[in-house]
Amino acid sequence: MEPNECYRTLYCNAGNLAEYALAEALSRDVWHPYFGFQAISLDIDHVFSLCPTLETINTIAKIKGVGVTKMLSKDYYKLHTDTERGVGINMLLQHRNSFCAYVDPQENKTLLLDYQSNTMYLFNTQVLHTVLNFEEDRYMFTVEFEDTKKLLPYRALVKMLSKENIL
Amino acid sequence: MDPNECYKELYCDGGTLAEYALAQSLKQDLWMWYPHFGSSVFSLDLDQVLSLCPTLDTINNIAKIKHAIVTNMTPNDHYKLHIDETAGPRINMLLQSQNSFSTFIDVNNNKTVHMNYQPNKLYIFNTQVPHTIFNFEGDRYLFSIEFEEHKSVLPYRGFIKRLRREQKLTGSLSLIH
Repeated sequence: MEPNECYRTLYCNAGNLAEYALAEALSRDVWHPYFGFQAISLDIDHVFSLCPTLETINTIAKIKGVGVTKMLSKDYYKLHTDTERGVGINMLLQHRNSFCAYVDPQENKTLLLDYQSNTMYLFNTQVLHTVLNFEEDRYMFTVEFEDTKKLLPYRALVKMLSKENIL
Repeated sequence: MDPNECYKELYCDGGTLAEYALAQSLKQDLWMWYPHFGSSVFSLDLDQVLSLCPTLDTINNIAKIKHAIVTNMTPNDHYKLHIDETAGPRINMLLQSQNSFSTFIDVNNNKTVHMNYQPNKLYIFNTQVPHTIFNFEGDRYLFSIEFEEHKSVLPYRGFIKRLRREQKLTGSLSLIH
């Protein structure tokens, strides 16, 4: 599997954003179901103020919402491609023994998305992927775009962001 | 998911056996390995295995062992979610791994149990619970015992019962909790 076809690292230090997003996640009591996860929304203007790179991305591809998803301990998210999203932006905020992997079922190959702290990734949701969480709650910062997979596929956004030296 | 329904640790130090099995794996010529459901496999000398691990020798008297093998997965290999075709329980020991995961899945409830192999430990592995393997880095070597009896004759629970009965009969024998 070709890693660049699955994910790309965004050039930006998202430490402040990660700190804010995790603090929000840990303080909220009310979570909403979101495609098999639980989720909260974050204030988009505040997110932009903490991460100007996302504000720039918003001028290139309109962001619909930003939030945090939660996966409970021992939860399994089966192999799938997203139904609506073509591409997303993800950053792992907190976990203990979990992984997200892309899978090529024809070739029986896999690729780990080895999330690094305070780092955001452009995530190709149209490559089969799965998430397994063995211990404790797993929190993920996530960005959803207005355009769905037909209008905004992964490769198109990669091209646009590369031109702006964000990737 | 109840981990006890997925795997049980055997009371036995598999250190000497692990050392032997890994050494054999690393020195095998390529042609000695044969393809087996997406991984490569070679057979170990069963008598040698039983001599290095008396616990397995005892188990062989309780449920006849068909063969002892080592499976190899290369980096980025994935063994899809499956249950074994013929085996009920197997006995497994991870010999070498850099970054791999073996995990049981409850597909109805979207839950998982990590088969967290510890070094030199043998585990009874319930192959009839859906399970999958991800090998992200380096070659992964797994020692594995397969029994003669088909899963319909020797299911995981039945095997555990046999071991418990034997423990009770002998008194001194200590194989599982």
